[in-house]
Parts: sequence; C-alpha cells; structure tokens
Amino acid sequence: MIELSTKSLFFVLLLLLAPFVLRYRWKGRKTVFLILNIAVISLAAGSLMQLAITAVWILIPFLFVRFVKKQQKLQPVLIIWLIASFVYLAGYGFLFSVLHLDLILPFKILGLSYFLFREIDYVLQMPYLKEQGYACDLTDYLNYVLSFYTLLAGPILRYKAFADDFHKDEDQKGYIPIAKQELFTLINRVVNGYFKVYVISAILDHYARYWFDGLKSHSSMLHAIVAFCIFAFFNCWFIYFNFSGYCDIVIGAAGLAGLEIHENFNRPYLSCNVIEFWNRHHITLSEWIRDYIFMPSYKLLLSGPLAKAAVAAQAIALFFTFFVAGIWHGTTIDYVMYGFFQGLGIVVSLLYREKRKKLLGKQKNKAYENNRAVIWITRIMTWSYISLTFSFTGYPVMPLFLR
Amino acid sequence: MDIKERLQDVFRDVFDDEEIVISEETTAADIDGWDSLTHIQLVVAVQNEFGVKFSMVETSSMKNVGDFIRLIESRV
Repeated sequence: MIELSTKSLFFVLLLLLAPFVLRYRWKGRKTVFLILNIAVISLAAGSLMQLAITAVWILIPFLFVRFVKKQQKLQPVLIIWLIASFVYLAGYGFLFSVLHLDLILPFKILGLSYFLFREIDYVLQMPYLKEQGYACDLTDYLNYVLSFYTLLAGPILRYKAFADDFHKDEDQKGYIPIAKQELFTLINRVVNGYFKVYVISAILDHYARYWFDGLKSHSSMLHAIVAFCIFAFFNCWFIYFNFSGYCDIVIGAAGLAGLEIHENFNRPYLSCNVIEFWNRHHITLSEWIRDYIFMPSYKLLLSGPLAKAAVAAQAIALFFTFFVAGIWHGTTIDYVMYGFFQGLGIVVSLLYREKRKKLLGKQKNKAYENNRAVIWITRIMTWSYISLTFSFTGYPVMPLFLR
Repeated sequence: MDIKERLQDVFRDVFDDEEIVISEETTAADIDGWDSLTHIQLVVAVQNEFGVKFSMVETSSMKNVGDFIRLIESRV
C-alpha cells in the first residue's frame, strides 16, 4: 500500500515536475531521465550496501547481453541464476525455514520483483530485437529497468514497448505540446488515482483490518466464517482500489510526460470465470506470465508427452503458471496457498468450459454464455472465489487457520 | 498447395471450423476462439505441418496470419 510520507510527497513533486523535463526533446533527455531514476532509487534505498547490491543485480543482465557471445546456450543459466538470487534477495521465509538457512541481508530491495520481470524480458527479447535494428546502451537499459513511473508496482513494461515509446518524436526539437483536453483528462486521472488510494482504499483497509483482527477472538465457528467473509469483502475491494488507483496515478503522470504505460485493469470483478479475471486484473502481469511461463511450458507439453491431449496440457501448464505467479506475489506460506487457489480456479474454469462446449455444442454454448442470468450468476461466483483467495495476500491467514 | 492454403487447413483443424478463410491481415479478433491458449495449439500445429521450430519470443510476437507466413517463409 502507498503510505503518506516524506518520500511519497517527494514522489508527488517528481510526478509534477518530470513532464516539463521529459516533454522537451534534446539529446540530453534520456540522461536527465536516468538522473531522476537514480535519484529515486538512491533515496528509496535504506543504505549504500542495499544500493550496491541492487546495482550489481541490475547490471549483470545488461553485461550478459552486451558481452556474452553464445547467448542462446547460456540464457537458461542466467535466468536460473536471476530467479535463484531473486528468491534469496526477496527472503522467502518458508523456503529458508525448510532449508534451515539464515537470512544474511537484513533488508528488502525496493521493486525487486518488478526488476526480475524486466531483466528476464530484456535478456530474452534483446537478441531478437537486435535483429530488427533495435539498439540499447546502458542509459536506455537503466531507464527501462529503473523507470520511477513503474518502479514500485508496475505496470510491467516490455523493453520493446518502452524503447518505441521513449524514443518516439526524437526527430523533433524542443517542447512537445499537449492538447488542453488531454491535459485535463490526465490530471483528472491522477487526482482520481490519489483519491482511490488515500481515501477509498484507506477506508476499506481500515475495515478489512478491523474484521481480520476480530477473527482472533471469535466466539463460534459460524461467527468466524461470517467475519472472515466480511473481511474478504473489504480486502478484495481494498486491493482493487489501491492497486488500480496506483496505476491511475502512474499512467496519468507518465501521460503528462508524454510517455505511454499500458493499462493494467479492465473492470476485473465483472469477470465470468477465473481465466477471464486474469485477463482483466493486473493485465501486464498476466501477459508476462503468459509469454514467459505458460507458453513455453504448454508448448513443451504439447510437443512431447501430451501431444494428443491439449486440454490436459493446458490444465497442467496453467496450474503451474499461476502457482508460480502466486508465489511471486509474496514470500510467506500464505502466498503458496494464494498461488495454489489461483491455479485451481483457472484449471476448474478451463475444464468446465471445455466440458460445457462438448456437451452443448458451439451454438448452444454461445447462447448459454450470453444468457444474462448466467452472466450475473457466474460473475458473483467468480468474484466470491477471487475475494476469498485474495485473503491470502497481505494477511497471515494460514497461521490463523492452523491455530 | 501454397503456404497460405496449408496454413488455412491448420487453422480449420485447430479451431474445428471448416468455414474459416484467412488473409494476411487476419488476427485473433477475426477468429472465434483464438485466444492465448489456442494460440499455442496453433503454433505447435504449424510447427508440425511445416517442420519448423519457433522460439519463445517468435511465438508470442506472431499477431496475425501475415506474421505466421513470413516466419514460415524464412524457415522453409
């Protein structure tokens, strides 16, 4: 959650001033953006040690792409190293306790999980992009990985989209004007974003915490179940308003600076199944895991042991993908459960859809899917399931169950 | 049969629809059921039909029929 502090006020100031610098086209523009990005990460880092480790972790993928010759062969090694070091740096508590390891680093690196996405995308995409004539110097790379607009919680940019967008209009000189209507729309979006984060989600967070704390002293099982459902209700709306509000702020502010950041939400709680939900919620994460986890694992299964069983291959690959994505969200055992339930929800949605298609046939299935009553019933069922699974994010639910 | 005709047969087979007619501009929006799940089925079926292999990046970068044709042409 974004908290009101000196650092967040500095961030507001930065969002207000950056457009004046970034809308101006001159050859030093990307260096100025880099200075701003380094200033943000330096202020956010707790110590020099933290900053040094962040720098090393970020620079290795760039050096790999720049200097290693047999990249295709060594790519898997680098990716495994990046994931392993991410797990270590992020401090996955349940893994450390299972392996009886002690955490050496007493701090968390800011934006670490999002760095991982950008680094993997860069390593895998760059050889392909180079063939298409894309160039990337150290300044471009650091601006991509460290961009203060997406540093904290995405949306997850791809290098190609970032490079295309940042270097557009470079043949022009001077200030790139903004239309009045667009200016008001973007300012409105930023203000709405702050309202969602600091007012609506703050209220929802207060009630979610209130009902969660009440669970520790419940008088009966029925009371506990009702209290848990109310907590889940407030928590899922808190997640939506907090995260989508944050995205409104950064997408709007980046738009003021002439930069385009992809949309991350499309009314997710109107989804009719868990598959559709992940196409509408945290869209850039869904697209990333689709391209880099689901596609290779599904392709591997389809090309090998499950060549004649597409649905089984889909189910296994989807479960694996969303289980991994769930664990990526956090470092405690609660996030393992979150990943498990997301994977389960996706697989059930898939199998139900396939079974229904077979039973009803194409035409009847379409009519069923377009039936208003079915739409609303499935929306409510999906939202209920998602809100219960979201309970595992941000709250120690498993210790409560075990108690 | 040229590449486009063979590709059309693959599309008809994967999407189980004999009515499908493709052009280079055909995208997921034009074909019922072409989503991220069937996209991989399509890519694997195309690989098998033409005896080619696509990388992970190529798989996700193919957005329309024209992309498929150009990549196949560069391989066969």
